[in-house]
Amino acid sequence: MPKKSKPPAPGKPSGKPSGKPSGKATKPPPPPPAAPSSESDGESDGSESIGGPLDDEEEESDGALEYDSNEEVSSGSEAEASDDSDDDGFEDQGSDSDSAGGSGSGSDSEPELAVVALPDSSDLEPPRLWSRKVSGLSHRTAVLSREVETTRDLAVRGHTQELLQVDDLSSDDEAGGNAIGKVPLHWYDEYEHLGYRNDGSRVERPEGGNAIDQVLEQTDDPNAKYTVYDELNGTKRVLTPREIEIIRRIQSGAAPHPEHEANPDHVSYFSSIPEMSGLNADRSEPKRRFQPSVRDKRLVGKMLQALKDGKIDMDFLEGKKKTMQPKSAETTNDPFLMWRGDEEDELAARKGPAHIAAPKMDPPTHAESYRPPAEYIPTEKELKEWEELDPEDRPYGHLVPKEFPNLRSVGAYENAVRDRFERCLDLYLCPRSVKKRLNIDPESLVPSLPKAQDLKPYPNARCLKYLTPPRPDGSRPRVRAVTVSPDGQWLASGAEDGVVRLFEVQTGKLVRSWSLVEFGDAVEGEEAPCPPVAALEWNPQKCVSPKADSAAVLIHQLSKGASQQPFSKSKGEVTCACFHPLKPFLFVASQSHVRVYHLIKQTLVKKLISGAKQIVDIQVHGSGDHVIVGSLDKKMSWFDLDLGATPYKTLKYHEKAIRAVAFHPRYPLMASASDDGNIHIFHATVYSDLLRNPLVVPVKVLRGAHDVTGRLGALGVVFHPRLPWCFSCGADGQIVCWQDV
Amino acid sequence: MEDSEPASHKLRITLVSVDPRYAVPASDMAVPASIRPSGLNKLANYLVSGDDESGSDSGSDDESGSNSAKKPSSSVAFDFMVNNKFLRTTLAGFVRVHNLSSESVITVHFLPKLSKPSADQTPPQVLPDWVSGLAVSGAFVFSSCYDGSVRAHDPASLAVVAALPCHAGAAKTLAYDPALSLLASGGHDHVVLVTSVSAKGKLAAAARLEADERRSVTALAFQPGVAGGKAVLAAGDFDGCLSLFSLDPSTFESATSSSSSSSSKKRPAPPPSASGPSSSTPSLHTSPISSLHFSASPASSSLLFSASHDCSVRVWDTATSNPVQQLNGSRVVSCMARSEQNDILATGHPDAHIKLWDVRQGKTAAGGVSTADSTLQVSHRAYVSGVSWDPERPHNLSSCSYDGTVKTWDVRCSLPLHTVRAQAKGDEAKGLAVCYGHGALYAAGSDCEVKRFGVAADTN
Repeated sequence: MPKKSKPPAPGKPSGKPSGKPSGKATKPPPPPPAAPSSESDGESDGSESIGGPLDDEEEESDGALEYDSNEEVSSGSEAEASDDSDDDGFEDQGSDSDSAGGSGSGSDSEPELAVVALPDSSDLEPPRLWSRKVSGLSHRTAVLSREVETTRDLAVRGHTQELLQVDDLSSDDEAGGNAIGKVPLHWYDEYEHLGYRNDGSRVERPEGGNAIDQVLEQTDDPNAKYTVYDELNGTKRVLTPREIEIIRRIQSGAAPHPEHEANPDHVSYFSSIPEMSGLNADRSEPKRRFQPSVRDKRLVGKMLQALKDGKIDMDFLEGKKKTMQPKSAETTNDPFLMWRGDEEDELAARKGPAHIAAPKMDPPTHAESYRPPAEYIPTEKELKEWEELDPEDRPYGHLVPKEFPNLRSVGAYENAVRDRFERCLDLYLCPRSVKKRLNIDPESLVPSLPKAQDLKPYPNARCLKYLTPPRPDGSRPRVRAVTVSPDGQWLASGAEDGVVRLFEVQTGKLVRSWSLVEFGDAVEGEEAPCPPVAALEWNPQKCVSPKADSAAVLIHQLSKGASQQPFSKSKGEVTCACFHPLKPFLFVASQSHVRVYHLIKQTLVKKLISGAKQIVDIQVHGSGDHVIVGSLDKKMSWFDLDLGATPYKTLKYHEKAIRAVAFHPRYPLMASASDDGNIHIFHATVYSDLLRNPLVVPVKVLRGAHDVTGRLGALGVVFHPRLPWCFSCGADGQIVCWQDV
Repeated sequence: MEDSEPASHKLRITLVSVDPRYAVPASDMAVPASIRPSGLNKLANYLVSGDDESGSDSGSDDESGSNSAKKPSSSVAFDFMVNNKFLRTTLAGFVRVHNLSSESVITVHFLPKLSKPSADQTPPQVLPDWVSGLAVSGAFVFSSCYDGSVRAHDPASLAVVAALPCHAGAAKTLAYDPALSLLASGGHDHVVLVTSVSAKGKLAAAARLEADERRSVTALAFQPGVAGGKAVLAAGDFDGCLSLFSLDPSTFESATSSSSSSSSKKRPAPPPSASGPSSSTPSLHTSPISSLHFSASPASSSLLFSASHDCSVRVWDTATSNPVQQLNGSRVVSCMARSEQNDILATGHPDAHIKLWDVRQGKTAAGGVSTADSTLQVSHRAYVSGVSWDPERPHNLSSCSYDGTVKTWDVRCSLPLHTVRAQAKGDEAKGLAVCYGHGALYAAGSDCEVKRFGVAADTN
């Protein structure tokens, strides 16, 4: 029995195109590569003469690679695939695009369970896609190649019992085979033959033995395992080893052709290695490579021109516009807006100086009536006032409201031309400027300070006077310094006659007095016969006496009775000095600076720049972080030592030079005495919170505290150590205690 | 009614005499609303004199005798009170201010006006230094002086009977214990010197007491009514500390004998018994104690009132050493006086105020002076340095100030009754102490004199 089996198509030797497009030539479909599907989309026929060798090569390798990847992911996506196939069934034998899409989509990762028959080149029918349910071993996608189709008469054994019915017209050409075409075979069930050959002879139905015979026959035949029954031709056929191999490969999911090389050697057609020999190896570079490109030059020139013309805009740079040339100018004769750009909003958006709108005319008022209400008619006094005014400032300009008995008697307005002319001037010629008017309530600029009433107690009333005995001529010596004992019982004053006097604070009784005249040089001062006492300090531990000699500071340790000179050379003339209340710091004030020295480390810690011309007094707040400095140029500067070297606040309230400043040791009070005879009392709260600035509020001016004699007023001020009282001394020789009321 | 017209507006009053000598029959009378105390005075005088004539036979005999004695001196000056307030304006104004009903009968009490304290004509003896404190005993007036000595004066002539220089610094304060005739003085030299006063006026240093802290002694007070022949002395110092000394006169008999010989002006030998304080509180106040007084009532004689420069008045129970009460003011208290009849405190302040304090626990004491609505207006011009209650008239007190004046007050009136000048005008003239006693008012100050002002209850 001649076998109608087609010899297995040579297919393509791997990587080589089949030279001629033959009808039998089928493409070995790689399992599910994307490239073949697209190719099959593009060309409806299977012949691939157009595809270059390179394409083919890539396809092959791609397919192989895909296969491997499929192998790996198969188990994971198996269920999905099986569901798909279940649903589809036979219904899926659809359109070309479907199959292409199916194979295409499955190309990447899905394990297709479909067996796809690609149509023959001459077959214009849509390919039939046959899906079957595969349970168990075979999960692989397989695309039946033409070779498999030709063996469709073989009964697939095992679990693949069903046969794909492929309407293969090409089988009609096969000589010697059943040539009934693609009709259901059961049409011939009631006949004794199976069909007809090309020559019209019948294909006989083989005589069927019973099942026992078949079994026996199978056991006898060594090739029974590889024998399939060709239902079309009614013959049995033994599979060739090649066919068995193809089936095995299909079942395992590999490319069916044994010749297919899954991993071809890589040939690098385009490498980075320059060719050492060959046609172009020693060819020299063309000349144009070394010359400026004419094309580029033209391009650059174009762009330069465009830049010059301002044609390069953002649209061009962003690529929204291909050309730099603007649309051809409107050469049309369409009407255009002549005053375009003169609207207010466009004027405002214009470049250049800001547009200022012309002032609007005031609407007419009753004053322009021919019979204005009486209040509009100016009296003689008002008329005089108006005439003195500038015409711009007059209430109605040039118009003087007048009353007429009737409209008929109203004459021409004599200033009409003038008014119009000025209006025109205003519209066209007058340079305008925007007047910036600040609508700020002046009250809001004043810092909100608490009321002095709420900041009581502070000294505000005279309480006591401490009287130094007058000289024989009746005048009292100037009291230059005053100090209170730490318990508040005694008050010591230093007068210009060189006498230190001790008063009882409570009663004003002069208890003791010591004349320092005999100490001579020990007391600082001028060449006067009675050197004045310039400074007094009531301090049980230490005492500083600045200006002991010119520009020298001495520290006297009273407990040891010793003095030391901390500075070998002092900078500038030292005016006063004081100690830090808590730390070993020494503040030394020269004429315009205050230097802070660390006494143990013997270093300069800080230098405060007061900006004053002549510092006369310095006081350190009880917390040690704040220093006030009074100077002869009427200023009192408040330094926050944490903030920096410049004053936190400068208070300039006095009319004349400040002579003394003081802090209260307990109450938040601060005072300054000045040559104008006044003493200013300030409320000065220092918060322990570092973020809050000290609150300084002037609360009281003790006016006329001391009479100004010889251009000197109040010379010293000191606070009571416990009470909100203060003591002041002055050039009039008086010492006054101020109490809170 | 003619009420609508203010000129004819009348108020009905009843005049009632506080003093039984000037008792008038209780009868309503209508007086013009605009009547002033002077008009009322005429009316009262008329009533008193009329009563005198008409009811001399019906009135009590002794009173009529006294009245007849007054009669030649024509009228008596009266003060009028409505609702325990002195009438100083028109009656209508008073009624309006105090929201009284003008329909009902107003009871007007009247009492003879206190005469102005009269300075003695004899010039007092000038002491060597300022006089800082005064104390009165049954026979003498004592003064402490800035020269450190304590002097006993004759109450009438104010001549110095005895002087004892007992302090190295100034003597600042005095206290007298009438039971044991002990005089305590303190000063700037940190010691309290107890002096025994003999009946002849001799001063003998008896004990020298020193507190732990060496501070100026600023206030002294003897506890009244201590049994067992002992004395309890409280001393306050400039630091606000209070020391309590228990004194037994039997222990310093020898001291008196030894120092009595040296009662000259020389500095005495320090008395041998320098006893420490029996108890001392670390700090009663935070500032100098300006005055100390024990309670006058025998039931609570262990209560000690203290005033200080820290603006507070405190009550301290010395028996249990517990604080009882603290009254905080807003001003420094410079001086304090305690009323003999009821423990009402009067304090003077540096801002020229005089304030009254009622520190009694229960609000009412029988026959006491109500101070709830009593405010004394500012009348002094300067620091008030001393106040003193009149022991005979429970409503009256006097004060002295650095302005050199002495003012007498009635707590029922917000204005002072009288103002007398104790020291000459000027900055140097400061009154430092004022004290009642022997029917007179003694004042001393920076003019180095102790002055006596006769206080007469009656007028002439």
